[in-house]
Amino acid sequence: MTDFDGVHPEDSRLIEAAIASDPEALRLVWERHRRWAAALILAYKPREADLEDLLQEVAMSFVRRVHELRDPAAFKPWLRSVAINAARLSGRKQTLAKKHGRRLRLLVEQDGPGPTGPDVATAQREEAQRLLRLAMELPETYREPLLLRCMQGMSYREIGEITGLPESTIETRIARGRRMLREKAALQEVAGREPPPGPLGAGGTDGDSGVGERHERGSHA
Amino acid sequence: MTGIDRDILITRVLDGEATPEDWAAFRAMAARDQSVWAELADAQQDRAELAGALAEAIAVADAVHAPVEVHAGERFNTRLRRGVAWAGWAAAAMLAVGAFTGRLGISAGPGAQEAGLFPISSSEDALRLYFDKGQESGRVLGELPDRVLLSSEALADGSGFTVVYLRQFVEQQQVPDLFRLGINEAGEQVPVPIARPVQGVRY
Repeated sequence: MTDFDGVHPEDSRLIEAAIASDPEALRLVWERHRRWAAALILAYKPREADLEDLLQEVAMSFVRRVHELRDPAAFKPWLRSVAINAARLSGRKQTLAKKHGRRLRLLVEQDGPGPTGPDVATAQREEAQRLLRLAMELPETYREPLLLRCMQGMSYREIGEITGLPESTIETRIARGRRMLREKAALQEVAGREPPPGPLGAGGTDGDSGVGERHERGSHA
Repeated sequence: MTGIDRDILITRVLDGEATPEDWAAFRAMAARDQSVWAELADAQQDRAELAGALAEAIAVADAVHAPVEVHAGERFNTRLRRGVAWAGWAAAAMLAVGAFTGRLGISAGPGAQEAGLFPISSSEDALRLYFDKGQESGRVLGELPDRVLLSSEALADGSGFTVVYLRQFVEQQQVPDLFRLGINEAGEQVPVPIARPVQGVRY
């Protein structure tokens, strides 16, 4: 086993060791990349699919199949395709029992005690979640780079490595995605209605009451 | 400047990817149209809110670990299954080629009676040395007389056959732990440790 304690090896070296099935490298590589894999699953999964379950599937595929890679540079696009496939296939694999279980859970949540009063932090949180739901309604082409960009510290270059697209394309898609998101938010404010809940994950807000409209935001559409 | 150029400029500034030229272009644009600043502020707020909501939604990722141990167990089981399948196939294909070796029962190995030093010039010499040394130390008990035929192919000139076969050597050694093969709830074969040994009991 390679000893990676006390050092922060280059990603490519670490990925190389993971491809060679080094257990410690497998753990470290997964920990470095699981958050953006989760963001991708979120961007592509159907609403009713559970993010944690899907990420577990991706983690299993990762340890089982990463040794098939020959080039460490192919790792990020490969993990992206594993995550997207897991998200897309999940729509077909949903069991009736799970759907019933989830519906039951939602009913219990709705019956439970609600917030005791208006709270600024809660309103802001709900506003942010509303924006995330709107982002989920964007076309995939714009949704994916926009969400990846929201990951802390992910540059256009890194997003390009994952998606296999040139930085200029990433930049254009993020700019367009932001514009579309802003227009959607403005449209919703004008309409004064909450959109149908989008495909959020386990930490999402299914059953949200629609509190927390956007305040004092002008439209530049 | 087109709408998309304006959006890209704002995006670069927002994401910290703007060059000095981009900043100069942004300031020039803001001097002509001050609404750009408001647009930048809105975009900044959108980004912060979206990042916060996304971080919350994917926080669950931190609890999902790479199942390295499970995978290692699976690989062990796969090797085990392959071994079992191989053994089953080999047993089915077993063909006594006793006439080939001309021995019955466990033999002491080729040349077991020959003692002394000799040069190793062939695989047979090396094998003879293995038997001699192994029997001295008590590790090697002998060789099973039957060889397991894996394949046979007639030689092109009709003078005979090429045969591929297994030879089986019997060894013994002391080990601290013993495992038997069990079946887990998923129907997979898994090694199960046997309880501490009791003197005189065969396992």
